[in-house]
Amino acid sequence: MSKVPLSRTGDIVWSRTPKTNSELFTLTYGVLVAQLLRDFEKVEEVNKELRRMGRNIGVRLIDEYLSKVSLASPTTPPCSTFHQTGDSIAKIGFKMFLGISCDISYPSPTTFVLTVHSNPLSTFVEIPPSREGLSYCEIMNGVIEGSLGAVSLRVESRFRKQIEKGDDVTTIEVEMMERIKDGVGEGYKDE
Amino acid sequence: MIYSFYIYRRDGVCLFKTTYNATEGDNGGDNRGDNGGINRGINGGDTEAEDEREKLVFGMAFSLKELIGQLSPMDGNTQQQIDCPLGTVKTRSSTMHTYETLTGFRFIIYTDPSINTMQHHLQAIYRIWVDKVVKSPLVKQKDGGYDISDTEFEKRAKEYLEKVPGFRR
Repeated sequence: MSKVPLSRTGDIVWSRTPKTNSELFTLTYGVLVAQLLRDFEKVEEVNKELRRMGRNIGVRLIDEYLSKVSLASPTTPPCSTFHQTGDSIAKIGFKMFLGISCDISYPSPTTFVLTVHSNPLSTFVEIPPSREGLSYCEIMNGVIEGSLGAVSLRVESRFRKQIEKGDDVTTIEVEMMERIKDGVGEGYKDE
Repeated sequence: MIYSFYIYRRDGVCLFKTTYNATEGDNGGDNRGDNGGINRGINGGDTEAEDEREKLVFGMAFSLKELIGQLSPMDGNTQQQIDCPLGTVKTRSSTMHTYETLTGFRFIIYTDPSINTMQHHLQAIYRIWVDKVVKSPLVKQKDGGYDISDTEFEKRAKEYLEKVPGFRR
């Protein structure tokens, strides 16, 4: 089977995706976080809420991802290892939804680390010392957890470095916790 | 000819079902003879039979997949069973076409046996589903499924299927 490089698939899908102005996107996200800070006051609560929102987004994004990727590259089989899953996120997922691609490394069989060189979410962002505990891009962790959760992979995603906190890159560590088993629901028991 | 169309989520809850090509006042009695009962209740039969049928369709798809999963060969490199999604189940009277997404949605269409493959049509319907249901902020999620009662999905899916060659006999 001829294998299309993932970055090529990412480019094809990106070229077909409707775009929005990146500054508009950045500012809209900024307004969202600012509003949450006003509503919840405590940064830990804001982090939690951002992650929750991210999960809900991720559950839907994965379907868009799957349907578009299967159209752009019908011969690509589903990922069979967790590292392939990571590659697909780095080269296709980030490209298709954020317009960037990121580097990936694999510290262990159940972990991968994504390195983002420029994060469109956190352009213009400076965290004031009084809000130090705020994980500004926490929504990304939620999206990764939500989307992989929808394909039966329970993962934990966390930041190692964050550009908006003075690091030179943003790194996200994703660890696989378990594979969720398929099962039928209530209506099918005892039949 | 396309008989019926179902969408299930991962745990077997039916999110959408519809039948096509049902004639007015037809209770399926006419079809019973040469269809060996498979078509029974499909054309406007009572709801209890409909519900039963809905469960049988999912049960069949689910158990067949489990069965096939256990029989499928091992991959030499990864020592894991090769993933082999269920495609088509063909009988003399009808054909069941299934498409399962990685997110656990199953799209199942029943047709008469003259239609050989519906896979790319099912994928096209998945794209309509993503467009009209998953991406719509109006569609609320309720524990892993979607409430599609207020979307254009049904209309668009029907429009699409009507253009499929062999929709009607």
